[in-house]
Amino acid sequence: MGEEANCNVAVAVVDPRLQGISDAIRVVPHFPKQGIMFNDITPLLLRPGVFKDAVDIFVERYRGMGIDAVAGIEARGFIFGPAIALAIGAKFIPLRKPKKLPGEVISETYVLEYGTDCLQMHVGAIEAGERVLIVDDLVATGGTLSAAIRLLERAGADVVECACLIGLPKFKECACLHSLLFASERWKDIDKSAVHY
Amino acid sequence: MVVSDEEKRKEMQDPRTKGIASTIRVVPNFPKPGIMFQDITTLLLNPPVFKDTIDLFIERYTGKGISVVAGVEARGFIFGPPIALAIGAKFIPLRKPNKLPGEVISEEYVLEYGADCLEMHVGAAQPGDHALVVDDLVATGGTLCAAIALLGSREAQGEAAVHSSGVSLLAIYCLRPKM
Repeated sequence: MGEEANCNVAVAVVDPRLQGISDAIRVVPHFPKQGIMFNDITPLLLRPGVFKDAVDIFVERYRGMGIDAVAGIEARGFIFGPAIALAIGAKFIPLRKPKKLPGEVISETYVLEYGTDCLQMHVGAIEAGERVLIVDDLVATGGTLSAAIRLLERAGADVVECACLIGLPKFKECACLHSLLFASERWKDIDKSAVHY
Repeated sequence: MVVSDEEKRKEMQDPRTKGIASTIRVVPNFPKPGIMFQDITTLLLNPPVFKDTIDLFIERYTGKGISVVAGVEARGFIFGPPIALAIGAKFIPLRKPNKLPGEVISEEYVLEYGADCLEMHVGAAQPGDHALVVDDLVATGGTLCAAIALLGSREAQGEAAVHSSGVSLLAIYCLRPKM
C-alpha cells in the first residue's frame, strides 16, 4: 500500500539550465528613468555556455512546430531571433523602428506610457499563411509584442507564439498575449507540470 | 590573425559566395538621394543562404583564439551572435547612445554630415581578449574604427588610464567586396 502511494506522487523537474540563465540577468535600477528596474541581458551574452543554453531551450521548443519565419523585434530581438531561425531552418524577419528598412514597408503604431512608437516590416517578407514566431528579450506590458502580432497578422501570417527570455508580471494583463507567450515566468509553470512517476 | 594563402584561395572560389551576393538587394536613393543601399534583409529570408553566410564566418574564425565577438547595432546583432555561439566567444553589443544601462564608455565618430557615437559596457572586454568586430557592411570604415577604439581602450577594461586614440585597423574581411 505504501509503495502504491509513492508511485502516485508527482515530482516536478526543473530544467537545470534555467538557474544559470536567471543568474546571468542583471537588474539595473532607475534605467532608463526613475522607478524602472531594467532587466539587462548583456551579462548573459558574456557567458557563452549560458547564452547557448537560452537559445537551445527555445530551439528545443520550436524545432518541431513547422515555423516558417522568426520575427525579431529591434534591437535585442535581433540578438536571439537569428540563432533560433538558423537552428530551425526558418527565415528571419527584422521588425524595425521607423525609417530603418529600405523599400516598401507596412507600419503599426502602438501606445507607450507617454506617447506612441512604431514598428515596421518589409512588404513581401511574409507570405499569407506562414507560421511565425516572434522573439524579443523581454515582455513587460505586452504593447510592443501586441503591435508585432498585429503587423504580422495584417500581412497574413499565422502567429504561433511569442518567445521572450524574461516575462515581467504585468504581461498577464495583456489579454491577446495570454495564450501566445512563452517566457521565463511561464517556463517555471511548464516545468512544474513535467511530472515523473 | 594568420590566414594562409591556401585558405585565401579557397575562400575566393567558394561556391556559396555567389548565392550570398545574389540575395543582397540594392535599393537606390536610400536613406537619401545618391546612396545605393545594400539591403541584407532579403538574404535573411533565404535560410540556406543565411546559414552559408554564417558558416563562412565560422569556418574562418574557428580555432583562432577569438574570445569576443562585438556586434555593431543593429545589423551586427543579426550576424554576430550566431558566430559567437558557434565559436564559443562572448558577445558584446556596441550600441547607440543611452541604450546600455550602467557604466559605459563612448566613442564619437565622424559621418559625412555630423557625428555619431558608439557605446560599450565597461568591463565587457578584458585585457588579453582577442576580439572580432562584426557588422553587415563597411563603407568608409568610420563606424568600424570607432568599434576598434572602444575595444582597445584601457578605459573599457576598467583601468583608469589614458583613452587610446591611436587606432590601427588590423584587417577587414568581406564576404562580398564591392569595387
